[in-house]
Formats: sequence, C-alpha cells, structure tokens
Amino acid sequence: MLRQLATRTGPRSSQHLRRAFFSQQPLNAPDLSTETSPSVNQDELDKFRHISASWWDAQGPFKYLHTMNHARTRYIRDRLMDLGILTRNQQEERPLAIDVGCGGGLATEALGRLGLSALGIDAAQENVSAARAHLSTADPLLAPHVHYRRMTSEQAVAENLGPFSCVTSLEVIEHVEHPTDFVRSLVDLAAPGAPIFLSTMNRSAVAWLVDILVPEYILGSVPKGTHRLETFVPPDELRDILRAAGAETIDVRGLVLDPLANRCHVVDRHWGPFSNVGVQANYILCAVKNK
Amino acid sequence: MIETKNLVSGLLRSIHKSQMQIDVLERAKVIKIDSEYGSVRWPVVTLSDKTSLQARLLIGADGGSSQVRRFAGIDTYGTEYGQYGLAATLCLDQLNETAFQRFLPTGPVAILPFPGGFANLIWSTGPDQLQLLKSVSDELFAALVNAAFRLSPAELEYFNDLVRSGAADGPVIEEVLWRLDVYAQNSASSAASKVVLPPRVAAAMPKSRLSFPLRMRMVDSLVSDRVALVGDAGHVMHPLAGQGLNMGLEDVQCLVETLEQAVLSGQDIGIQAVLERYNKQRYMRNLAMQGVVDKIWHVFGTDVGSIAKMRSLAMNGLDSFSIAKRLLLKTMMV
Repeated sequence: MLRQLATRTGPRSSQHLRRAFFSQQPLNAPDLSTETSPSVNQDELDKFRHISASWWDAQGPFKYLHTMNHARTRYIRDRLMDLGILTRNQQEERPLAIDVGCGGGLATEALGRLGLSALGIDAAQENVSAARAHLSTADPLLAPHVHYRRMTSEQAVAENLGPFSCVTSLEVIEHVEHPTDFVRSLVDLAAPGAPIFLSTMNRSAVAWLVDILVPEYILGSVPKGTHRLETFVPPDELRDILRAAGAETIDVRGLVLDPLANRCHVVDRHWGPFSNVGVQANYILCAVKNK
Repeated sequence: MIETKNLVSGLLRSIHKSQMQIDVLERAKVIKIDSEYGSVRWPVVTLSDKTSLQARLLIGADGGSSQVRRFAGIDTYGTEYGQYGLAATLCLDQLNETAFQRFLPTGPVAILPFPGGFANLIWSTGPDQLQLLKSVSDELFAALVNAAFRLSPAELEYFNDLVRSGAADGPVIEEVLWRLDVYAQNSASSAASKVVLPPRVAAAMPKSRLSFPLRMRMVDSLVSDRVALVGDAGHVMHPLAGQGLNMGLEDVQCLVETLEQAVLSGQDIGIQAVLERYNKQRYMRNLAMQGVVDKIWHVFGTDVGSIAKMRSLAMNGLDSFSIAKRLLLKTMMV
C-alpha cells in the first residue's frame, strides 16, 4: 500500500468539477497546429523552440525567470485572495485558470500549487512537450490539476474553453504578433469579474538597460536577440488596450530583480512624488473583466 | 527543563486541537527508506505495519543516529569525548526552580529543575566511574550526588575507592554523610563563603539511571535531495550547556518559515533551491554553537592551574558584569 502525502495547502479538485471541466475539454484533446494563428510570430516562436530543454534548469538561461516567477506567483496569489477566488480554507472546487504562453510551465505548475486547476497553452510543440515531461516526473500529486495543450489563445476562444476564473499571460505579450487582438482573446477567456494577469516590460531606457543590454550583451545570461525594445508595452498603453477589450486595470506593480541576491521584489508603481519609478522595466498588471 | 513525555503529550494535544489535517501514525517503526517508487523520485518510507509513505519532502527529526541522515548519505564528523552522560530523576528536599552545574575534574555534573521538587540529573564522567555510579544502591547514589556538589575532588575519589574496594553501602553512606556535615558546619561558620548550593537530594528514583555516550557530531549539510534534517539529526553535542533542544527548536522555526515562503510562491517544497535557503540560515549557526560548547568543555575539563585561574577570573568577572551576563543568557536561552 503506497500513500503519497499531499501538502494540504490547496484544495483538491472535486470529482464533479473535474468531470465538468474535462467534458468540454477531454484530457486527450489533441494539440492543434498553431502556424496560421494570427498572434503567432514564427521568428519569436523559434527563439523559444531552441532553448525549450532548459526551462526547468534553475541555473540555465531561465535562471532569473525562476526567481521572478516566485515573486509573480506571490503577487497573483495575493490578488486572488483579495478577489475571493482563493480562500485560506480548503475549497470544494478548484477555480479554473488558463496560462497563455506557458513555455515550460513554470507559472502553470505554480498556479496548480496555489490550489487552482490550471491549463497551460503554448504555440510551440517543444514547450508543451517540455512542460508535460517535467510535470509527469516532478510531481505526481500536482499532475491531476495541471494540463497542457498546444494551442493559441484565439484557438482556445474558438473552442469555447472556459470561462476561466483566472487568466495569466506572463512575459508573453512582447513576443506576439498583434498585441491588441491577443489581449482581446485573453479577456474573452475570462469569466465576468475574473482577473487577467499580464506581465511584460516597459518601453523605456531603463528597460533597455536591464532587460536587453545587461542580460543579453554583458552578462550573457539571456540569449542575444531574445527581446526587442519596440515590442515592449508601457503600462498605460496596456491599460488602454485592456479597457477597449472590456477589462479594467485595478493594480500595476513593478518587478525588480536583484541578481546578486537572486531575489525579485514586487514594488509600488509610484514612489512618493516620483510617478512610474517602480515600473520603468518589468511590471505585472492585474485587470478585472467587466461584469 | 521538561521531560520528553510531557513535551510529546503537549505536542499531541496541540495537534488534536488544531484544524490542520495531520495524521499521526503510532506504534510503527521505519523499516526502510527508498529514494523512488516507480517513476517518482521522492523518498519512500516503509513502516513496520507494511504501510509505505511517499512525500515531496522527508524531514529527519530522528535524533543523533538518524536513519534519515544515513539514507540521505549525509556524512558526519566529530569527536568522542570518551565520556558518558548519566541521567537520573531525583527528589529534592525542597522546591527548586534553579539549575545547578559543577565542573569536576571528571566532567560536569548538573541538576535541572522539574516541577514539584523533582529534578533531572546529568552527570558526565568516564567509563569507570559510570559503572560504579550505575551499580550502587539508590540511597548511596543520592548521597554521592550531594557529595558531588559540595565536597572536594579528592574526597569524591576517596569514596570511589571505598566502593571499589568492596565496602558495604552502610559504612560508605555514613562516611559521606559525616563529611557533608563537616562541610555544612565549615561553610556556615565562614561568613565569606557565598557559594550557592542546590537543595539536598532526598532520594534517587528507583531504576531511573540511564547512560549515553557523549560526543560531538557535525553534519556536512542539513539538506540533501528532498531531505531536511532538524534537531539532533543535524547536530549532536555535549549537553553541558543544554543547547541541543534550543538549536532544534530554532531549526524547526527556520525550516517552517522557509517552507511557508515556498508554498506562498507556488514552489515545490522539496527542491534543492528551497531547502538550500534553510541550510544557509542554520548550518553555520549550528556549527558555531557546537564549537562554543566544545570549547567550554575543554576549558572546564582541564586541571592545568593557570587555565583554572583564568577561568575563575572570567566567571567571577561575568557574574559581576550584569549586562554581559544578561546578554549571554539571552543568547543561550532563546
């Protein structure tokens, strides 16, 4: 008799919910071809194809993404608690979450551990395969609550997936072809009143310095050409795109990485009289879909 | 000072009161620990009742000869003091809330208070005297404990010789009591004496004498793949400063904080990156405390006159320098 001990922090999926969720989208739903999907930029996709084996290497090219992911997850958890989607006590049903552009599944697994039932989707088959491989070997207790499919958010909307109680797309929007349409599809996936989390980089001199020059050309910790300044989105622009798509931004915070201590801090957007100081480079934004 | 059984029953009570889902498996021993089951590389603990448990993280809180530590392949190093600790439960002739310790040439002897006039004795000594102290009657043993806190090392050695030469208990007890009387009269007449003595031992509890070897063991690391060590599993040391439990409690507090941070940020609590944060915070602190306790043992265990004089000077100085004394107490008593 073998028992696997669960940490009891998160709720378990109730059988009922699992049936309801997966009757719409069975576990073996086929991966889709994403080449012709409008948000896909093949060049951007190829960047991640080549390093998809390193997603879970905490010392590899995604080292600081791991660090940043811890801070992002804490931020997401706090907002989900504020909005009453997660509660301190065990919940009967796990709220549904979708992580768009899941890459190797760093954020998707974290969402599962917070107590959500998470679906990670990505346009690159290599990423989806890497995410599935990690999940199956790394954590059998988490596996029932986390799933991956190769598809884009437009395809998820077309399939009528959801509605989701939490939509995340972290460090993705700077790599998609039509940000406005992409954001609209994220809002479409969310249930009314549900939060949409987006994180990206501001289009600023600071962002160019800390997100391109230093990591790609000086430290070499990120492959050259991973990011281009013109694809970065300032928070106000993103707020306007979200508003047009039917979601109101409720909070914007900066994500500041301290590479020496390998820690990431969530900081306020404005520091006293200095507006936008905290969001000069990386930031995370929480918007709520209109009811 | 608290007895293990009281500590355990207190812990059980708080588990029962809490709303957390905690399973307590009783009357079961760990038979073996494996590193994987099927394709899942998590530690698997097999119990004597044939249950197997697999978890993300295995915490070794299983004492100085930790089975979990052996499973994890964490090496230990350290020294044997060539001494044993003799523990016994005593009944004192008055209520007492103070701990007493005397450093004898053979090793430190300590009385640690229990409620209700009882006390715990820890007498560190070599193998010869240990055998002798374990073999004498409860009555003689109680008399020897009183002597150990009051009489000179030469007199104590003389009692040992008497017992070894096969003298009957009665005459030895009489001899000890007579010398204790003489000591009491002498110290009463000399007004200068300000030695604080523990209450007299009225009786030693029958069959309460137990012994264990004294050693210092350090570990290479407090963590390994999906394993964390807390308490004596991660550090064994001489009980003379009573720091073992304190360090264990600090380990647990630190590990809990580390794991909480990991859970809140959606991390797997068993991965090296998480456990290393615990190791980083505790490893050097534990090593430093073990080193300090080892130095105390060496400084107090020596007969060399000059060191003994320095030691007395230092202790008296510390006693009259109340800020330093309070600071030291704060560090040692958590």
